Amino acid sequence: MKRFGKSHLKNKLETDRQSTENSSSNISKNIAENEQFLKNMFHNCSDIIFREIMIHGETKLLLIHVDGMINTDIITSNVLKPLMYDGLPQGLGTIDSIAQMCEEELFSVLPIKKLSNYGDIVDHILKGNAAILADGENTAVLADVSKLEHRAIEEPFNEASIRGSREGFIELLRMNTIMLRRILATPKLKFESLKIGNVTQTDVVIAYIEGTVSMPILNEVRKRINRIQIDAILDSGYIEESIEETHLSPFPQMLVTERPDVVAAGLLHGKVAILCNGTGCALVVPLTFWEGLQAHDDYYERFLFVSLIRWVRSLFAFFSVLFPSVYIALTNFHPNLVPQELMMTIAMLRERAPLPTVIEVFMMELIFEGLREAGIRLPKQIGPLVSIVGALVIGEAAVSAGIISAPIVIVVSAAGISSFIIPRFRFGYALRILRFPLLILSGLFGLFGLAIGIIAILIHLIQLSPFGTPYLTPVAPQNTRRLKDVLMRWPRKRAIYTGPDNEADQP
Amino acid sequence: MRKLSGSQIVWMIVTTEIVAIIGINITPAILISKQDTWISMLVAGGIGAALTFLVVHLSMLHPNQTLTQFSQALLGKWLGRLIVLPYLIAWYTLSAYLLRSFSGFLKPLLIDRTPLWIIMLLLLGLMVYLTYSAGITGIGRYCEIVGPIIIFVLIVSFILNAGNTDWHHLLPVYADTGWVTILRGSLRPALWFAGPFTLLVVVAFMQNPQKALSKSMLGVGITVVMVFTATLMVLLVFGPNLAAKIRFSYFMYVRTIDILNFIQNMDIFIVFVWIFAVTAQLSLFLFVASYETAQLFNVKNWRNIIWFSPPAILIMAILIPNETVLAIYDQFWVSVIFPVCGIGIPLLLWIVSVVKKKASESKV
Repeated sequence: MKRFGKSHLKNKLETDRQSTENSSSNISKNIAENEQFLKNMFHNCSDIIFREIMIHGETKLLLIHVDGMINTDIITSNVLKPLMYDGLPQGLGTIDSIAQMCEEELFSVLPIKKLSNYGDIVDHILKGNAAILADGENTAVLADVSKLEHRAIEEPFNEASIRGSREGFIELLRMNTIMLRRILATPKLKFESLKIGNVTQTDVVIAYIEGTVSMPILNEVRKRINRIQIDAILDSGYIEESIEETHLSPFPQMLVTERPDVVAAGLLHGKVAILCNGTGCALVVPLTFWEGLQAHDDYYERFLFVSLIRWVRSLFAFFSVLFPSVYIALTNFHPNLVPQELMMTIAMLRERAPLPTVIEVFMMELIFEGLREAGIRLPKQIGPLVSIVGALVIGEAAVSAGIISAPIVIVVSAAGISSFIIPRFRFGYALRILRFPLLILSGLFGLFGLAIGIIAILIHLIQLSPFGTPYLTPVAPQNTRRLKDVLMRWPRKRAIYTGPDNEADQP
Repeated sequence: MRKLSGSQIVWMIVTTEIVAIIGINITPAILISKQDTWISMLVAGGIGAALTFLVVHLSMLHPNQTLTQFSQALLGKWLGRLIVLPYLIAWYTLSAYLLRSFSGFLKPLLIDRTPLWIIMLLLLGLMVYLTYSAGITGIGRYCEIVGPIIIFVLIVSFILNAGNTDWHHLLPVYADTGWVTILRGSLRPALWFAGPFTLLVVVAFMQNPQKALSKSMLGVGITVVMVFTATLMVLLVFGPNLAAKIRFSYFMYVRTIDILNFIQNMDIFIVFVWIFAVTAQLSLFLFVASYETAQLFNVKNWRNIIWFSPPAILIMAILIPNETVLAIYDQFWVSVIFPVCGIGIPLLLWIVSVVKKKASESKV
């Protein structure tokens, strides 16, 4: 088995080398030779269509495309019909090659390319272009007649909002850039395109607004993306992991969003977006701590309400991290900090519980995480099952059986629910992970351990600076001007009506 | 190395000084100047500001140079290095002293059953993490977050206890003590207002060193105001006689806060916040000590010193057997270390740099 594996690998390497050697060569003038070569290359690829077009009874043209990826109507009406019925254009002295003919007569509006390298031609065919090779010519014409099936534009599932656009990205990169371009209709919006993935050759676009973008970030993004050596990109997550500052942080270092308006807002703030074909999730680089606690429609709602909500959010974010460990520290180590009546009640409820508080909380936290994960994975039809089992078995039965004390259920579920208040979903992951080390620390050392844990998290946040942007900006390092967008959402200036027409309307 | 902003200097001074003065220096001052300690604190603030001025001004004469660099430039290679030695001794021993005394303070309050060395090790771990991972920039940012929290907590503690105050505790003003006693009481806080000469190193890392003077004065100013208010509140609540008997009078003061008979024993919460600030303080000393050691021995990367300095501090801290030694060290600090490192050497260096500057100007 092992030997087989080895020789298999060797074979693979050899064929790889062969095909790369070949694919870098140019096509010849002999159409039969070209056909043979390409057929070898697409050996066993049943979805590749080779179509010979006979003119005056002999093979003059060869049409190659992927079945189902191109719009056959265009090919039929623009290439096949004129050539088959009218034959080669006559009397046009200026046209002396098929390529030129295609360019100037047949595909007068479609974007076409003239290529002579096998590798390039194959790449284009696979991306949905139709290749036309002519006898006696050593260039192929590639017409972009792709017609890609895709899912309709829908409201993003994971980023619902009360207000704002309902558009969400889809799996087709071009559609996504169109959505962005519609919002930011300026030539300054740039889409730098590149291909990543030795096997998948995935199209990736770096989007930014020239003049607004922070150049150090853009250069860093370019540098890191160009360094990526990977076989496949199946989701933007692959890119995220390849370019993030450190893997050893629970905090996300870039924003993942399905909403074009969120990407546009990021670009307008001088950030860089990375879009990737095949996924509806765009990356916006970099993310900071406070942005993690903000939602996109914060900027669409009225500022007083949003400011209040931001306070609530921060409060619950801290609450969700700290509540279980504070509970442990207070009840186990510093009961005199808890008001006496409350402590009495807790002690009474805990009387029957056989397990130490730390273990109890730990268990409940684990079960909560399990329920959460199960809720995501379960098919929709049996989804309600999780909530029933969770509520009945864990909530009711465990408490009434005396295995788990009631305050623990309250603590864990309150903390768990509050972690879902965080609008950037992935930011909540960080808080959920951090709950566990804090639990252990406060179980060991009480409030001192909790302080140690919080300080360690704080230090981690301070030294984290994805793409050169300090994670805690604008709080540390302080930036007073931008500080008003952290816990408040400062109102934009009102539109000022001036000018002769409006003057009369003003009070 | 990224640089420090002006506000980071302010908060660094506030965070590192406030905890030491309010934490350990209020009661000793009250022991001496009784009900006039609040005047002592103002006097101390004045002296501290003057000493800070000296140190910062000296640093500003040598932009982008830390103590070791400019002392060598001024006094020559060997004398310049020799002069740094007392500072290194001061910083290393002070770190050990503070680590030991703070852990000793925490142990009975928060974690009775845990051995002292574990507490020290955990605190040391945080210091190393902060200093190693982010250097002086990280310490600056850390202070920028912790400083405002401390000020906020202090102000809240003042407001909440306003109901328990009694003006009669302050009477009679001045008559009982006289200016000599007031001055004597202001001595120790004054040394802390001046800080343990970390500014000799830190100013070199500032983004615009021209602002160093105004920012450090602002930092000292905020500290003085907060310490003054804290002292005043302690006196107003306890009166001088009772306050003098309580070792950590400010924490006991917080203990008297009682909100609706529901929230009590707030001192533990204050201690909780104190841990944040003490971490900042100790990290700053660790950074300064390590950086200057590296400079002294011409080590290119000061982070390599981190392998050596924290264990040294921990061993020293563990070797301190009891409170008596701490008291002796404290006395030693006031009578020997501070006069030498805080006044003597800076003054000498300042005179030399001014004379040299004059000489070079006259040459031109």
